[in-house]
Amino acid sequence: MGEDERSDTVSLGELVAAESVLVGRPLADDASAIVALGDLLVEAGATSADYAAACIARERTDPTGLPAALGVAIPHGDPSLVRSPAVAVAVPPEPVTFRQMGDPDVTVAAHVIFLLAVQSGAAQLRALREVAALVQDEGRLRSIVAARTPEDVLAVVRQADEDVVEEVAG
Amino acid sequence: MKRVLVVCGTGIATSTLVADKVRKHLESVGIDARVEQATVMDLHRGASGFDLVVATAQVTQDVGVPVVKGLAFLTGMGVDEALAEIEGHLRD
Repeated sequence: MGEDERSDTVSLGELVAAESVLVGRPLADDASAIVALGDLLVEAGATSADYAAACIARERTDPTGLPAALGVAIPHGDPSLVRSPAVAVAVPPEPVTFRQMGDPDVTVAAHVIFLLAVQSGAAQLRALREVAALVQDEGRLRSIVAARTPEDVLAVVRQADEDVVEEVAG
Repeated sequence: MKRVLVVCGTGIATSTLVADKVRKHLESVGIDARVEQATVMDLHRGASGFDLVVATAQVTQDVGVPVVKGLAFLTGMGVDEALAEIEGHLRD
């Protein structure tokens, strides 16, 4: 546990740039969502250009849809394609169908999609914990889904930054 | 000392979260265990040396040891059951 405490200082809020949040853009399917978010990460200089393709390939073998009060998906791919850790977020007007993590025969209607560009689990543990806490927090998810602007999404993420430790400990 | 292998698609993102939670729980219940991470691809070589696999990705092949699903640790649903299952396998 000591190691975690030293290394998990990067919060989710620090990894999500307003330019990497898509609100209100229709996304037809999981691949379209990953491409749209992947473009934002490439523009931000966070990943190499082929990161989205790697994430789509990964999604086909190891899908990332998470069933919760509101479904969420957390696509991610080969860490060696990540230049600096970042997270892009999509809140489409209609949920996007993803396959369920660990159970590809099941589908999840993802209302929020977090494209994770993670380099090191240990260094980005706090941010990963925050993502998991958000998945489990119906109130915050509903606030994200209700967002009209990227700033609205960031406001919820920043709230999550402040109390993730307590939430996940429970 | 028990050895637990947590696997996910990339060996980085969700396995880190699940390993974190499993490690803390085993500490809190006094089970001496080392929790390591790998990708689901690594499992093609089997899980020899490990007592248990916890997987967020689908594991279809027989890896020679029990496999517990790790999805609960991400969704928050069924966490107690998953922890009980893990504990049960390690207390044998």
